[in-house]
Amino acid sequence: MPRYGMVIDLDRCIGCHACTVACRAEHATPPGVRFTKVVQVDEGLYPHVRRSFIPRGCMHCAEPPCVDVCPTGASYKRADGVVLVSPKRCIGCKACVLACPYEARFFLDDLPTYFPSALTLYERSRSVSAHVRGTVEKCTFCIDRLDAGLQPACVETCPTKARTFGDLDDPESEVARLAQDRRAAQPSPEWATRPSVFYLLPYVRGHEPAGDPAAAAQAAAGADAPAAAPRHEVGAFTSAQSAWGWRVALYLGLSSAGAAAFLFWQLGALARPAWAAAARPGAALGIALVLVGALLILADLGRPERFYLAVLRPRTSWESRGTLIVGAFGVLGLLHVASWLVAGGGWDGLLAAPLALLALAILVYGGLLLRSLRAFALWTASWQVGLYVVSGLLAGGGVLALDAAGSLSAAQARALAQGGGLLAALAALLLAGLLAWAHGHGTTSRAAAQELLAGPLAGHLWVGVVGIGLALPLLAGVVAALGPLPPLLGRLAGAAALAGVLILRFAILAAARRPTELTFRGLGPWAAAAAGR
Amino acid sequence: MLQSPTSSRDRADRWVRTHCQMCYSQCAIQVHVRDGVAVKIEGDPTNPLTRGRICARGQAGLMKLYDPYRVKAPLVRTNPRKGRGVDPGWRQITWDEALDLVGRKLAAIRQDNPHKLLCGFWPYEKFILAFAWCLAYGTDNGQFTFTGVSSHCANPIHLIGNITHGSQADYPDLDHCRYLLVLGSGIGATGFNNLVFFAQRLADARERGMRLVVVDPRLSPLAAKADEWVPIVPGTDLALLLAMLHVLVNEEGRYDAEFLRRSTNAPYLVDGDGRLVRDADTGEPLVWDEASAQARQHDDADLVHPALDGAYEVEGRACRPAFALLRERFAAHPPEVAAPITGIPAETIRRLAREFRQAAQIGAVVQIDGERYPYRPASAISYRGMQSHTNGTLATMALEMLNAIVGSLDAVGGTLARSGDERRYGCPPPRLAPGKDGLPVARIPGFTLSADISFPPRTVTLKELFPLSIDSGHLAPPIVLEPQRYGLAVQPEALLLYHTNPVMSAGEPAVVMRAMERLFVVDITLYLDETAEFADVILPESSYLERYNLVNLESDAVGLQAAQPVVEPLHDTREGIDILVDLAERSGCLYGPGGYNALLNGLLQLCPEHKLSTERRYTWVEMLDTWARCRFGDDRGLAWLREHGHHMRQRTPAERYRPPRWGGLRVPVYYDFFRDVGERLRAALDQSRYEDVLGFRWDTADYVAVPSWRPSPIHAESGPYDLYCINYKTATTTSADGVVNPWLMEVNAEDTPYLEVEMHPAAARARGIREGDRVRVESRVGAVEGRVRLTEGIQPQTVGIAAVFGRWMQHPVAAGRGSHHNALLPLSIDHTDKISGNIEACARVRVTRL
Repeated sequence: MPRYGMVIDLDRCIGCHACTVACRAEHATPPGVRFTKVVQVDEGLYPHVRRSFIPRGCMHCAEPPCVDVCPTGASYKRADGVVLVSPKRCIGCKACVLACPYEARFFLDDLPTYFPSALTLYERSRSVSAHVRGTVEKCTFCIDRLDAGLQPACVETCPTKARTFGDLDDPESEVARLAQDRRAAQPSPEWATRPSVFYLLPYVRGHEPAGDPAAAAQAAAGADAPAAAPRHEVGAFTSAQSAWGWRVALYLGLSSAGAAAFLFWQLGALARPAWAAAARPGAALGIALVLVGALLILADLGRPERFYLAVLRPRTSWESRGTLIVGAFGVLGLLHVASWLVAGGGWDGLLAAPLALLALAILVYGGLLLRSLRAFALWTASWQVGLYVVSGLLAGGGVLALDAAGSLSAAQARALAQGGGLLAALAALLLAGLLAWAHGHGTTSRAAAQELLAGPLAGHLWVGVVGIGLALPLLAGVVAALGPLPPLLGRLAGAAALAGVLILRFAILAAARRPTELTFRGLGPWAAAAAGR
Repeated sequence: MLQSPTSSRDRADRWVRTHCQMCYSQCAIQVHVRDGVAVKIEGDPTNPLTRGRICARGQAGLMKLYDPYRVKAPLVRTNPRKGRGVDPGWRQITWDEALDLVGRKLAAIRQDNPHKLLCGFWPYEKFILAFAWCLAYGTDNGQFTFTGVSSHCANPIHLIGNITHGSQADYPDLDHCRYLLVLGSGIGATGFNNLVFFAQRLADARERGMRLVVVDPRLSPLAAKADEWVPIVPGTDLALLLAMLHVLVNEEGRYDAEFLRRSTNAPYLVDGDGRLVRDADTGEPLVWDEASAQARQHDDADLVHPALDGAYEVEGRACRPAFALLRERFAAHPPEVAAPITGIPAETIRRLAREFRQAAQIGAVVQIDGERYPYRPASAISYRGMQSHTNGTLATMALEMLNAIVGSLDAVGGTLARSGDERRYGCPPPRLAPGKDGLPVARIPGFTLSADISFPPRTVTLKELFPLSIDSGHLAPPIVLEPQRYGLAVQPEALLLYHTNPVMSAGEPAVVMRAMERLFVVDITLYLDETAEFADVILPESSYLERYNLVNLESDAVGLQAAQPVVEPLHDTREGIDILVDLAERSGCLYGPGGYNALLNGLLQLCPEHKLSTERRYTWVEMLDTWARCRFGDDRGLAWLREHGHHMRQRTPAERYRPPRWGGLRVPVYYDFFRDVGERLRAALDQSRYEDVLGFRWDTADYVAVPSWRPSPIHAESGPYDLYCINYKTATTTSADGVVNPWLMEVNAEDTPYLEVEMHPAAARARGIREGDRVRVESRVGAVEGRVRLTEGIQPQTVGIAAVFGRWMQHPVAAGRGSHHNALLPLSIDHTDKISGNIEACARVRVTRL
């Protein structure tokens, strides 16, 4: 069995984009979807500017993170190393789009046409069956061509033969030979995904006069080397994600708030029967919020009718686990609410314990799901997971504090407010910790932190999360600790906590950044290997 | 294990061999057709030059074929009022109606005065066929009026290349070159010709260790691949080259003396006025033979050792070799003079000159196929970036002198003649024929060094003022507006356009549009573009994937490449030549001795047994079949070519390189005949008093035997216009119609800065402009808007606008995207190269934030 791979010679690539268009022509991809493209990157100051053309696409990793996070098994790696997506199994959850550190995957939200007016004959002939709306697509290494004994389209057309394709395990093959070349480097090895696409770094070409060995030696020693340019400002070479937006944020916020509300009810009920009755409307509301969240996430799927496939990969996918957890919670929660209506709480003991465990799992899994999408440094922080849990608890308390049915006693409301105040304080600490961590952990997470602190998301953070979501519960907690709590303040604080957490979820999703540049051997794209000719 | 397809038969369904027409280069392609739909374009692996590769433009051809905005049937205007944004009120008509309407008009004009018809023909895959039509019709304003080589090409190399190489253009011998100096060209990376051919060989040469130095105001993709990028102030390459010549001949005193002695006119003796000293009896130029210490005729068999230096006396006249005069003239241009002009440090200029000379390995020889050739692996080449300035011809002279000084003209590893414009021949062209003074004369139809010069002019391009040029087509629009003001006897009446869009591609679009308001305009076109909006009749052409052709535009090939329809025409469109034949018939210039068929017999050099009858009408397919049978034999007609795609091979070394003492002909390094032309031009102007009509004195000072620094008007402009704006071509978009292609435009928009105005951060800062700002770029004659992209990769006094964007035609892919550089260019005689007629393609601009 071959192990397919590609070597791209950055010295030969002239940035002509023939590969990009050959790929488009081969796969009839809709506008906006380019399985391969060529990125132009500059470094240096005039006139000592180095410009590189870096062809990008799927790296067909030996350890593909996109496959691990796929909840249905639609993303898979073939025995020959080619990473593919089955359009029949993909539910369009976009987790793989987020897991890929190389931005190589595309969600087909829509299938726009090349010309706005009508489908061309070409599109009618090529695209209609090939591309499924609501699924994710990516480079296939042109498997249909491989099966026909041909090279991938980008390789075959490249005017400079910058791309070489073949069997990396065949020591006789050109691609295997080049992958061992002194100039060969894996792209961004820090992701530890073992890409099957290698790059040959450019030869170092100094400014030495031809045929003058002394000057050549001087140039090689760096005496004539241009001064390094200041590195670009933070965030200039990172990108935000657009795959998960407000629907996913609401889902994450509502599900954790609802689960936490239920959890508080159950924990309280174990201690005080009075609480069990008084907070039951809040707990029911919690279950309802989880269900609303589930509907939202369903609506976010590209292919919601296949949602049930999402349970198939619990061994590697947090999304599969989450689907099972939320699904079970939803079913049992509905039964539980039904039992309240029918039996007035007489059967509480039966479902409460498993539901509480599931609620706890819901509170935790969301943070772990985000952490599994490793391309986004902000999400990988333990602070993020901690903040996710604590903020979920805060929001859950808020759901109960809303006292929708007016069933809480003043003392219960006061206790809730005090607990909420403590949670808000803890959440504030964790948020500060997360931002501090992000600021000190590399370009992408620093860009995310800046986005939140002073960038376009500063309003969300300072007004929504801090000013409303944390400050009001804190205020209510302090008031409750000092004396009687005005009922309106308690409810207001509850609403603020819930709203603040929803905004926080959105801000964490929207702020995260991943790098857009490749690094080679951790040296940055420009530190070319000093390989001789 | 994996292979490329070796023949079209390897594939399922149908693969059709044809050639690309997405730019000028006509590369070999094969098209996959499934159920009657073209679904994929790939390179043709059987072609020895492209080796099965094809660029982005070529891949995107399917979107030209299936563009729903193509013109689908002949149209006639119903609204007599013409103007930008004024609906012409197109009414669909039949081909018979359309041809009768146009034919009647053309016949009437031809009967009255054929020069009243102007032709703007740019079907680059078959220029010669279009050219013949203009000759048959009999108009002086044929082929390149309104649009032409002067605005699309690099006219100077067509002139200088014809003189030095016998070819319209030259290229570096990348199989052997070790040092390539490129001035203002994207060879092998973006524009130039034959991208796919050069890209492969350039990459191989660079990997082999060839040093690449790119002189360009902008860090082009080619400059990005270079060992050294040398930024330069636009339009000052001439100063750089003169300084390099000075370093070589005066400071270093190192040059290929043997080549100069034997193969150039450098040893020709000149008198104190720089005029050739001639034999009193034969009139042939004399050289000084150091062996016999006497003057001998340049072609004297007893001539042993021609002198390059020294002072002599011949028949009482003091004289010296032309080379000594060259040295003296170049001494006025040391690097210290060039440095402030070009912005290139003097020591860099010295180093480049030294590197170039060292790399040339003067004196080396190499044996190939048993034949010894000079081995000079250093080449200097250029294209539009250097040549599209008013001093472009002088710069091109200097460039070829640089090649000649180190002996790399047509040497192994040096600067080669392209295999020629074999659209006509399909066989090696006759190259150079013996001409006057031991120098060659180029044999290019429509081009002659000894054109009659007489005034008042008969052409609306004032081509008479440019006797050495191919055309000065961009000058037509302002002259059409006031022909009397230029002393023209003819009032132009109609304009026949064929595959061209002068509103976008010339300059000053408002002037072009006004001129077209005055004319009956017939447009053979694919699109209702900005020019078509002013047409009276639209004759829709089929796309290149629906048409036949034979062509050879390659750099290193002998033979012909075929094109054939890969699908039947999708719409009621026709082959352009078939349209021209119908119009020739209707206007009475198809038949007879001076008719279209008769002219094609001559121009295509058809053999006696395969000539077109001058008494009958041929279809394009019949013409091509006749042509192919003439070239390749009766069993290899069009049917054979359709199956095999091409009848083509690479040149042999003997065809590619210039053997020593090539036919006894010398190439000029001393252009005394230029001065002769200038003097004849001056005499004709004086005698006719035409300048009284013009109202200004026509400057003939560029007609010099030795180039010297001449700034362009852009260098003199000052005041508010404090930046240079240059235009560049890209690997995704060269000609104007690439802009309507959704595949290419997506790449342009998403992956490149090509739709933006490139500007240096320092220049932007000084004007309060930040990345992404909308700006207005304004020249003396026009203004465009754009979005700024800051880059360190541009000369700080220069801004760059790519290709031909900024369109307003009714096409959703093209409209309103990018900026239109050509709108900044004056259509004026001042901004025209006085020798080649080329437009000055750089504008002086000011840039302000919107």
